[in-house]
Amino acid sequence: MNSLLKVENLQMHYVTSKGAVRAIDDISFELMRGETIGLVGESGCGKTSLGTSILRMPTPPGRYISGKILVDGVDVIPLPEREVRRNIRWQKISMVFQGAMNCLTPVYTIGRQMMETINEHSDLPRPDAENLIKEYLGYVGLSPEIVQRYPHELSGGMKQRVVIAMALFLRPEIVILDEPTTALDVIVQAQIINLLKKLKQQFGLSFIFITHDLALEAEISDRLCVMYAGKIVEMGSNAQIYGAQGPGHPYTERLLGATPRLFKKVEQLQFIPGTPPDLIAPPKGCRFSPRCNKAFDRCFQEEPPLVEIEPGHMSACWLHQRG
Amino acid sequence: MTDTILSVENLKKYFEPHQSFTQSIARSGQKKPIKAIDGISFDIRRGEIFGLIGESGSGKTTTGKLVMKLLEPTSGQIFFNGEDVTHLSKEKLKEYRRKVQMIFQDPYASMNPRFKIKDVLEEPLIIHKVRATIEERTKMIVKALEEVKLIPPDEFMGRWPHMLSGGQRQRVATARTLILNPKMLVADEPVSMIDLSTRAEILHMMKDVQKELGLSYLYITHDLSTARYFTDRIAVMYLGRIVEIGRAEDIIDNPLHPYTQALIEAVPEPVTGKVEIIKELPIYGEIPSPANIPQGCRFHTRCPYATDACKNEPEPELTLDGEEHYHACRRAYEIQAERKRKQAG
Amino acid sequence: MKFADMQYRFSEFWSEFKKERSGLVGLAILVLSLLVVIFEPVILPWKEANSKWRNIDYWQDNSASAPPAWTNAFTKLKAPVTVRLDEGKKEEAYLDGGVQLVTYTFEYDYGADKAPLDVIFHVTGHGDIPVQVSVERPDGVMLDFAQRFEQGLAGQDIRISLDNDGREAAFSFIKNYESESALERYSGRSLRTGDILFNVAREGMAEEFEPLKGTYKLMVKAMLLDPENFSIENPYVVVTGSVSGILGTDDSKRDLFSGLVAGLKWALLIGLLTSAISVLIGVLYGIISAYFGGVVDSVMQFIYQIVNSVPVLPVLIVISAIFKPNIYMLIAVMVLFFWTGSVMTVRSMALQIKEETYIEAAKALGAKKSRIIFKHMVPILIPYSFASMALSVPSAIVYESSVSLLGLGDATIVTWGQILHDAMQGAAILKGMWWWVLPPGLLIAIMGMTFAFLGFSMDKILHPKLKTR
Repeated sequence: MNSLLKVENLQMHYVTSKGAVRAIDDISFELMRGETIGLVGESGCGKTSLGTSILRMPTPPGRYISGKILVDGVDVIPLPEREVRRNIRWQKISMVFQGAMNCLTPVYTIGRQMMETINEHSDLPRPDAENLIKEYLGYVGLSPEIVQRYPHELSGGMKQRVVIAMALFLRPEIVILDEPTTALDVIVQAQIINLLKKLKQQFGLSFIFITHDLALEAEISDRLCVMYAGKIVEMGSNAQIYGAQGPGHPYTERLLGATPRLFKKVEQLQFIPGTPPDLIAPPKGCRFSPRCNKAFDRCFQEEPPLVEIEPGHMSACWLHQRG
Repeated sequence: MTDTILSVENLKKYFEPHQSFTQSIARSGQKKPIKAIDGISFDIRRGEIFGLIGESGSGKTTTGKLVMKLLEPTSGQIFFNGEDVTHLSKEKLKEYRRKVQMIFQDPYASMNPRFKIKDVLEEPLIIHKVRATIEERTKMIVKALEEVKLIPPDEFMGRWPHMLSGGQRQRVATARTLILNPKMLVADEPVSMIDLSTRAEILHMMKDVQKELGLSYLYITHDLSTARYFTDRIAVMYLGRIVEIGRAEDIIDNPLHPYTQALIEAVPEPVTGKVEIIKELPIYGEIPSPANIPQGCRFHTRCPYATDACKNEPEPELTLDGEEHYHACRRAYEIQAERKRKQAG
Repeated sequence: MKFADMQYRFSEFWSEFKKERSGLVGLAILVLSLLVVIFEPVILPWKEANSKWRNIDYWQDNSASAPPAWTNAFTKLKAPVTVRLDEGKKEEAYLDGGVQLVTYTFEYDYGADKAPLDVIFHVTGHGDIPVQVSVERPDGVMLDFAQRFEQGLAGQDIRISLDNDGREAAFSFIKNYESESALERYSGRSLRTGDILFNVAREGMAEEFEPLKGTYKLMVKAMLLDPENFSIENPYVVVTGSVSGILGTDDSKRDLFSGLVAGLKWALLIGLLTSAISVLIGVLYGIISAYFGGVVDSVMQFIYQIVNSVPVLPVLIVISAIFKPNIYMLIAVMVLFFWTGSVMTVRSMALQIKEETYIEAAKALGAKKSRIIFKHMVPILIPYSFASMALSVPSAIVYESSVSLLGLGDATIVTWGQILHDAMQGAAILKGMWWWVLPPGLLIAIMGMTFAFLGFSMDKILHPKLKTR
């Protein structure tokens, strides 16, 4: 079974007193074994919501409205919580949260917290659990004596490695990483990315890598999903989007243009004026049209569907579709 | 040089760690000082955007605070417009603050949430007792808002900070610095907490403002890529010292210090073909604590090219290479040759 | 501009507050109390209860230790309620010699089952006035009771009490129906004028009281020997019953309802003034201590710890015993100790605010310390201080009550604590005078509860959101 995860027409809304925020509005994609999919977008596009949704943990007041999340062919949305906790979460899919290093409680030792996670999600007896912890600390490049330390004694990079170890030790096949390097310095970030690449090869993992940084995405993802206002606007391989041909959607293009480059003298960094739309009442037609400099009449009237514009490369834009 | 607006000479800032009364008496338990800045010197020219690059622990933020005189230096001197401003009396300090202003990193926290935008912008005028009448003050506020392209100004004046986006708030923060007609701005990571697509907009605005008003900037950041785009010259800091200084393109295209080289290699690029490569960075381990600075060249513990000399001999000073490019590495040319060989072969 | 801002902030606060049920209850009670205080002159049955609380003359016509009037609803034998009759019919007659006879007749409907304790006649006179009082019973018997000749009056009140001054007349009346020997048999029991006057005339009336119900005509007759210069005015009659008032009376004949209503404003004053001043001091103290840090902070913390450790009540007692204070001095002393209450919380909040970037930004702009404290830090903490104020009100009220309970309070005013003190002195519980003990105690508790509700609700909403996100 090469398809590990299949999201089909997922709709997840935040139900507030002011109305339903359509954070995830009909999203579909597939994750194959051993590949890394990047979820790119700015704040508010729904990428973090998608991450927590796949883990069956939407932040309240999030609700699943329709669609499926198939893990190994089984839809996890209707499953009871107990089963998700025992069989799916952390065993099949785990997650490294945004600002994960701050998720470590300051009052308990690293070892204790790691042990707690193991106990929550499995029945491993204590000596086996301890060995597992030491083993995985080794994989992420930390000395086993770290188990006695408290979080404030570790640097940011070390804490992030601990969290990654915690996401891996029950051997999930899929790891969702939400902005895992945001708070880290650039050298530490590069080291963590290298570590992730190594672990991916060593354990045959599949990653869903969520970030707003296109440059970071290019370093680690095989394929890319660009999200805007709760929808996927472009999906394709790393080579297709970053390669010679370039992006197949104006938003991706502008995002790339806004990314500062180290080795290219950029005369004018592009920016996108305006702000993302209100997800309670999104605009008619293409959601990006109000900010798009290439929009024409049809864009404001009809929402373009996500179609294949070349093999393996999808785009939701009238410009790139004929008819 | 009358061309220089800010000059920093051999600046040091040591922090004494917190000790109890008994600890400080019992010398045995005395903790070492934290050497946040350990002797840096640089000049900022009039009308220039000068970048200070470094990771956390490099001392770049502390440098900014010293320049802003939010901290007093342990030793060394700061010159502004030729005048020694290292230690200032209260009145002189107030004058200084009109000329040198700061933009902070967090747009969400740099304004009092209970102040309306109008109050935020009026505050500098009140503090410095500028223009007594309300109409004249309002005019200045409107002008500042227009300067940063927050139009129509009336609409923004009556709002609270939480009603604005991150980018809009940074514009207000910029307007706040401009309202007193400063000569220099210190910007500490002004765009790192803003969305990518808005970053360029803010940097644009800052560049326009700079050209129009002839300001000089001290731009502090860890992001080398924006530095290339935005700055004229940069200084790379490591553990409280400057290891390389020069024009931005020169340093990025031809880095001479191993730390700069590691930094550059660590920066991700949005190009294809990188996924399969696991490039080992030319740098070991993690940054040491500023309370425990390695002897000799302070970078030697992490440097892949370090020799015994690097550890035992005194720390290298900045040496000139070419027109304006300075570096602090005794093996710079050997390393350069070695890298060229690696690339070719 | 400023007012509009306040309005906006207040409407934000109000939309949150509306959701707090306990807070609304507290608010309702507070509003009710304020209305009572405002309309006190109208509500009070005894208008000068506050200033004349310790004036015996003021209360002399009232019944002592009388339960509330409405207790009649629960007893089979109805007790007469103390009433004051002001509407008297005036008759003037002219006698020989230019003498004028003025008669005021008051009608009293008697329907109770027990005898009134007394009937008291009042009239104000100018000059030399002979006065006589008479009563016409429903059975037609006319009894002349007391006479008095007051001379040289210049607007003073003539008071004739049937119980004091009319015994002779009453006894001669009863001798018509009871033999000497019967009276002697019952001489041990003290027969009051009321027991005779309102009794059905018959043999055996001394032994058992049977109410003669009906309308009684109570008359005051005055002779004006010199109508030109002498006059009388303001006649009224008080029939003293054995139940009185909305909340009864104490053993000094004081109407407790009046006392309690009069005490309400003192409770509010003590509570609000003490808490407002002490919290303001405490908040400023906390902010300054936090902001300056270092030596200043250490010294201020030291002072705080000392003041905080002093037990307030003993100090209050000692000071009250030595100085015989008035209420404002009590408030001052309480403020002297109460300010410590909010210091610690405010100091921790201020310490957090101090680290915020916008404070650093203000410093970078050149703001002085005083500006940062008063323009940045205080406005964030003021709303929290309102909540803190509400929560310290109950303590202030209880402390004053305690001091008064021990008899050391301000003797010029009436407070609930003092009423309780008198109840204790008068062995109220022993005597079963529940109406003397329960209402003041309950009111103190309710007032405390009101402010606690208000305070907790306000605290929930106004606790400053110190994280700027």
